[in-house]
Amino acid sequence: MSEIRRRTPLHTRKPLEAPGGAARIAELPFLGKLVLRVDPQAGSKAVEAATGVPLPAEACTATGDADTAILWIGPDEFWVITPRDGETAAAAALEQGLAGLHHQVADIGSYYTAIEIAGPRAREMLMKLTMLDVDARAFSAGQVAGSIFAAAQAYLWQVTGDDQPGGPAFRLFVRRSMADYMWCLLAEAGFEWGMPRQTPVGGETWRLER
Amino acid sequence: MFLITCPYCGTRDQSEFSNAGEAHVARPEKPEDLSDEEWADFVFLRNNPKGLFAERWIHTAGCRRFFNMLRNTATDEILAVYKVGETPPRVSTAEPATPSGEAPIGSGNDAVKVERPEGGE
Amino acid sequence: MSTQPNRRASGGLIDRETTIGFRFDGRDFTGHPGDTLASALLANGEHMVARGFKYHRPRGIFGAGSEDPTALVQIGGDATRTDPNTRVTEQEIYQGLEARAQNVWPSLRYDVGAINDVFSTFLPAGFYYKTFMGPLGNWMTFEPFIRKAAGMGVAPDGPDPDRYETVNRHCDVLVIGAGPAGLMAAQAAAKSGARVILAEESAHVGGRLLSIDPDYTRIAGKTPANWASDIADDLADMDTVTVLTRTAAFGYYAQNFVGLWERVSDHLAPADRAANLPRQRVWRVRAKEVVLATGSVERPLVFHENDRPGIMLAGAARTFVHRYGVVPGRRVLVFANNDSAWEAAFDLQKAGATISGIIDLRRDIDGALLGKAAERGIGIHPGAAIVGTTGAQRVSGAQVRRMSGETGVEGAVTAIECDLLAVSGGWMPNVALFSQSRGKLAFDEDLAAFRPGQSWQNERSAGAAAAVFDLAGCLKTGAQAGADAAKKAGLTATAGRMPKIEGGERVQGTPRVLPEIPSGRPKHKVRAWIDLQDDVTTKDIKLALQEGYDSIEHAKRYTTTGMGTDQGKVANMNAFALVAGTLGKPVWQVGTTTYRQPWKPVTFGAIAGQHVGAHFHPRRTTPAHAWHAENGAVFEPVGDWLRARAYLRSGESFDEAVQRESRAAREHVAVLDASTLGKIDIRGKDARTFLNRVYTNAWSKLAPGKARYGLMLGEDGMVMDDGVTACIADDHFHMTTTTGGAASVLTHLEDYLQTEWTDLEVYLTTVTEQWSVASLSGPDSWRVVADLCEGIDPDPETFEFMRFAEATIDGVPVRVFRISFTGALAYEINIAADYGHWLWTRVIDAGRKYAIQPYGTEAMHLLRAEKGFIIVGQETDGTMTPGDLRMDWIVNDRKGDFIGKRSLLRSDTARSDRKQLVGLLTDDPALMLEEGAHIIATETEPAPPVPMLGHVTSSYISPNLGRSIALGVVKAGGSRIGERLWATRRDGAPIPVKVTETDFLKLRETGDV
Repeated sequence: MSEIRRRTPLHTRKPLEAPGGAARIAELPFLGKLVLRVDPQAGSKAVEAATGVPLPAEACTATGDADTAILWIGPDEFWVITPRDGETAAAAALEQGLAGLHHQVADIGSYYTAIEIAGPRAREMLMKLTMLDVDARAFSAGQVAGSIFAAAQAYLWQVTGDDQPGGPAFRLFVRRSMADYMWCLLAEAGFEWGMPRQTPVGGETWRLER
Repeated sequence: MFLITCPYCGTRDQSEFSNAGEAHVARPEKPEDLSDEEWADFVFLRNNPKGLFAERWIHTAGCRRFFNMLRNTATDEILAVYKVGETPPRVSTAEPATPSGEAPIGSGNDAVKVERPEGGE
Repeated sequence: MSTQPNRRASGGLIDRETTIGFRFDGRDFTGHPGDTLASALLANGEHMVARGFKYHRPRGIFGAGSEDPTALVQIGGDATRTDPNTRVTEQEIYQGLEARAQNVWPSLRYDVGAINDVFSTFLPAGFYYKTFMGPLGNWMTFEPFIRKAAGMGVAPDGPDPDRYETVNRHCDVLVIGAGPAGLMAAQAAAKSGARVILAEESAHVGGRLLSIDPDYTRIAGKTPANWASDIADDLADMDTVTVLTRTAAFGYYAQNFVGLWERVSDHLAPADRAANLPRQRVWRVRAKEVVLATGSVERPLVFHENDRPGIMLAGAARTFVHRYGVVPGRRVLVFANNDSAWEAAFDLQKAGATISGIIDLRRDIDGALLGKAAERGIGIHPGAAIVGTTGAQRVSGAQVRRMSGETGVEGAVTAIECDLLAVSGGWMPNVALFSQSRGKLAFDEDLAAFRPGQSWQNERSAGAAAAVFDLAGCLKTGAQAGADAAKKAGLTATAGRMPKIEGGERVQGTPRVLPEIPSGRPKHKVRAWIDLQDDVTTKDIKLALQEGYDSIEHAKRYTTTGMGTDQGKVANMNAFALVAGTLGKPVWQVGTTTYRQPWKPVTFGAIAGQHVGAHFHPRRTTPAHAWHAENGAVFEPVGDWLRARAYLRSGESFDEAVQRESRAAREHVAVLDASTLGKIDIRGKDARTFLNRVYTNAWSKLAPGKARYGLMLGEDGMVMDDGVTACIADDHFHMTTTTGGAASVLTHLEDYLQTEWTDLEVYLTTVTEQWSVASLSGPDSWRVVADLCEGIDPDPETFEFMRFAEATIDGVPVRVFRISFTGALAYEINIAADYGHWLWTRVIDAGRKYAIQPYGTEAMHLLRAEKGFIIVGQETDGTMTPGDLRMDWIVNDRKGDFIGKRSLLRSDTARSDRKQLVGLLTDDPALMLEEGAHIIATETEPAPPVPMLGHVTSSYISPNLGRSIALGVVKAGGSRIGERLWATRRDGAPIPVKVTETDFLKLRETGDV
């Protein structure tokens, strides 16, 4: 019996693209994601030594690159993004480097998944879901924001700039349980440019009465 | 929907935030020393003025930080935001003359919809 | 050659090359692209399109745009798509469009409801209040009949097949209205590089420019329409500018949050609508600065019999002539109080109509106008008024008399024939959005109307909206407003050069505004309409004032003036003026009613947007969800979560499944998906101190590898949450919360850490969905764990209750807890959620030899009730202390302060007669109590008010006890153990119950059950 041991919340969803590359969405499976809580004043050197990436100095920004990055989430809260299966080593390195300093490292690799939203229409798709100002003037490569997307809280990170071939690329980190909801609404947002519509998982039997 | 300036993340839509009631109500250091009445005052009683009000907000969808805001509840004018532990800044705002009155502009209520011409009674 | 008798040979934004067929009220008509339903019907000589709301009198086309009060029809033949209350002046025609008159039976022309008109004397203001109040007029009896007669149009039936969308936009400058002022504003702002949105309510930019004679006016050397469309085209080419037509700003909210409603494809035949575009969109715009270029609305004149079809605003008549190439009447009589209507007369004459006269309330008319009228051979009647009209389904003539002072008429009655009566009471700045923005209105004595006064938000008005009516002034104030807005938004901007204007039109001058025009008739015989949609006459308003409703807001509600779907766009000012005039007060003192959002009705579909059906709300599902769904699970929503409630086998009922699962969880082994529980990772040297303060019990000595149950109180001493917290290391804990409490508990804890105990070194991070949880219950549960997990010996003899250990399954790390919510031997296996589905299938496979069964939340509830465990939110309701739950054992008084501790000593919470949690056993073991049933002390229900001791909180048939069990809260319940009480029920005598302890399993052991 073949068994799939590890599944992302969107493992049944195939990447979607609007004709002509106007927009595309794809799940980026199994990215390493760690929550790092530390006073940046006290911990920045140790964090950089452990991960090779400096802590973001500015609020709502990211450091590093598409593979390994640190995202500013709050004044003493960061997300460390690593390649697949890189989180265990990163966590160990952080624990070791920050030993003796008040800190927290928590694995949230399974908690959230990343949906990449890219292409010239990516911004307009996001505008259908969030009140966050995602106009190119207000939100550019390297920026990060926690906000509300449709009825779900999520974190948005612009990874590559608008000048890149294929247009800007964003990553939306969404809770596992809300990933399918978000995926389908993103596809719906791209329908204007020809992205295929998606039906949320559903159809179960409900019983409400006692 | 308001625009709220989180002291950490900057200006965002109100949907990212939650209100957390009156600000600057410190939990008593020694609750056991308080009378029932004093304790009940801390637990149950909050001010709810029409006019200038210091209140707490949380940037729920963003950085998850609590912070303070000075808001004119008669007009919904946000006058200042500041971090927990900071002293409220001095602000000036037009407040209702009486607790049930209206601010001279901004409430949208009948009493202030129309300008009174000079000398008009 | 057009078959439309009133279509002009040329002119207007009409494509005469293409003919469109449409149907109105069962008859076929033609029109052209560019036509609205109104212009196409007028081109065909049709004026009457509706009937009044109350008296069912014939109603015609009164305006030419969104201001029209009464030309409302039902659009669309398809019951799922039909749209009631659509203004014919806004609905563009398309091939095959079907429209019907509404509020008529059997037909528009022969309507039985018109009988109401005959009895109009018996339908005064406040008719319903007067008639159906008190014992004689029983509203409940009459309501069904009245409902049938009331209402406008028919709501669509069934799910809406169309798509809608909500989009969000931020911009520097939002310009509302694309008339001359709006276009200049958008241009000036756009040149600065600002992000600009220009929203135009109608299908074309240009506004009032489209309603003036293109032969006379040139702007920058172009016809007004071309100048406007060229500017809009240039703007649309800019990346930073969005030009939206068919888009109305419907609401101005706090901090420049403005709602726009775009009708994307309503103007197209269903077959021509782009499949990828929504039918309508709502744009939620957050603008740094707003320019209100919303133009002005023409004011009707209030005279006797002013409601017949064929009576139309003079400005609207000009719009039909110039914008739509339609002559709305052949014999036109003009009735005015200002100069602009004279231009209408000249234009209509030029377009081929005969002008049968201009009647002007003013005695002194500008010489140039008099000269032009004389040149054109138009008879004029200065200082005169219309005192009545004739015509059944269209106006056929009017009676004219000389004015005598302000309130009288004198001299002979002149009857003048006409088929169109063009009226103008002057132009009022359209201040609706300005007032919504909470700006203060100023009363302009010259206009006798309100204009924008002091601003409250970051907006400014320009052009006619700011009471600037001449073309040069509109262009200039528009450009200035646009530049000012861009500057305030942080850009460098100038108004730029003004385009050269040649020609131009005469504007209104100073109108002579009378709240009501004298007719010389006895008061009770005057029928002069203020509000054409709601059928409110001057008589109704005066009656309301006479009866004491002299606040404008009261008068509005009593008479319903301005309360229709048009919100009194043309009617309100006349109502305010009449109230002021009658009360002898200045208009500013009477004030206005509220210019409420929306500016015009917006469909529910557009407001709901894409968030409908399966996209309505997140349905949170666990990693093993697909397995549950494939294995007979029926689900229940818990917050946003869907949890498996029971797994039904073929032919099995829900109750049977629950009984079977509950037995399995005690007799051998069953497994529950507990992934939805809230989980918080707690880290820091002060973690124990923190736990001591947030839970009622002590945490100082909990060793690593151990777990403990905790009860969390609010500062009021009431139970707010509960759960098990495990110690991973001295400075590292794993807390669980209830499923529903996950988010609020974290916020509650963060509140204390961030604002009260800032000295504590503790970090909290939610890990709720990081872990997928399989909860195994039953005597064989440890065997399944032992077979499955490596690196742990779960033997209950050695791995004690409340232990916790790390292990692996095929090399995948797991955390195993020996904790129990069922009272049976139980283990929880936590695994990273990516492996959650796999874990579940592994547990099921490994458990097969022990006949493992999945169990759902219903069995879980039942099992914990057998053990007497509470569910926060079921046994508690925000008023239960630990003492009330008779869980005093969990409150540690000696460990120091904790949240809610002081409240437990308050006189009220310390009372001994509070409701306390007890078990309730019926005498008849087969009888199940109803949850929520009241507990009383007597065998029969006494007369109300019934003294109630408490109520049933949980009730089940327990397969493991072989009888019904219940939990309940009862006054001083702890001291009533063994007492007999009764539980009420809906149908039947109260049920006798015995008060017991809550742990039924223990009661069984001791033989007490």
